[in-house]
Amino acid sequence: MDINPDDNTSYTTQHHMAFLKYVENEYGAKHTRSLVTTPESIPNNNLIPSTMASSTGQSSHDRYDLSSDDEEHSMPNTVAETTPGYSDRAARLSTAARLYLNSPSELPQNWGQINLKLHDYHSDPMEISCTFWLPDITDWWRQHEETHSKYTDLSNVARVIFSIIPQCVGVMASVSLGGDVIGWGQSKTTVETLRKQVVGRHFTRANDGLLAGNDPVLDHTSTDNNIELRREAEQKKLHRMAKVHDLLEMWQGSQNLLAKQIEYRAQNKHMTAVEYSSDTEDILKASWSHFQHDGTTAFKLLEKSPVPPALSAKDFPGG
Amino acid sequence: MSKWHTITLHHIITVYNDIFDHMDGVMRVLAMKKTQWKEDLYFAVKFAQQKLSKYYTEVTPMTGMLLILTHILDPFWKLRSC
Repeated sequence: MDINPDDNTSYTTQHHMAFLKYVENEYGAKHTRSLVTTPESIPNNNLIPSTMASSTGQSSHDRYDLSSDDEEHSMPNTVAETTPGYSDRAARLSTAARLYLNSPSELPQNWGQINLKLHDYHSDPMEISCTFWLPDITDWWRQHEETHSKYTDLSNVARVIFSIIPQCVGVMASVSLGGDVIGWGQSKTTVETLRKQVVGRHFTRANDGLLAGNDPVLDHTSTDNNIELRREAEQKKLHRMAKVHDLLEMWQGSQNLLAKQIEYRAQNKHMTAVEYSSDTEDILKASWSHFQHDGTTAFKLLEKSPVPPALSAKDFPGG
Repeated sequence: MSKWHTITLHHIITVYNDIFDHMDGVMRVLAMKKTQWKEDLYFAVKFAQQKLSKYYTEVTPMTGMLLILTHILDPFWKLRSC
């Protein structure tokens, strides 16, 4: 079932044959010995509704084949072929797989699923590309199982395979689990070192950090990325402290300014009272005693006025 | 793709192929250029492609069959570009 790069046949042909072999041998042989025909309700959030699971012959008690062991995997196909129903099931799966591969691929616009992103005005239009946007294939397989189409048996294969989480597959696991071990900068950490660190760190987390600090290799706090993150956190903290320091300095300056204003106000008040202009206190302090009333003396002074008296009519000539 | 809430396993090969195609296109355009920054960009893309090829060859022996199966089970792709 391996893909041989040196093979002269095209990759498409090899993939075609590998897929058929997988469906017939791996899936058919492993699941034929646990045929259960009793319907059982399974939550609706499955990839494919479980109401059809019993009709396809897959065990409803062990949908993901968790109870299978290595003995079952290493069992020769001849043993599986002796079990009842294997030939029929293998033939149906093989037929469905060949039919599926020989039929043209679906066109998204013909299937009728609406691209919701086109009506989502809050989404980034740059995220929509003809390459990466494709309709949700789970709906396609669910629809074919619900309608009892020719791909009903094949939908079980799809359900088993698509239930694998990408984060547990090869490089995805390295990126997901080792992302916080290897820094964003250049790292020369080897695969073996990365594996040890990831395993050790998860072990210590699962055991409440029992090994943390005992072994520097297993100490998850001394990884490159953690050091980098800690440095960034310290820089943020320093920046925040600098802001607080600036604020305190500004507040202190404001207090000093206020104190100086109060001092200058008192000084200014004193200056205005003594020299420059009279204010209310001076007006209140001035009494009428400063104005001495002379009485008749004032009138006498008026009689001795240097202004000449007014001329009478007899003073004029001819008057 | 990290924002999607659906199956993305069957897109891995497609994404790899698109990245390689994009790099090939950029290198093809910049191959005969003599401007300094274009030459620098050409070599940068070339080294990036070598690095990605190295990772891709290390990934496919372990999970290649799974990725191929998921790609084939995508009814909108099947054996196209696989």
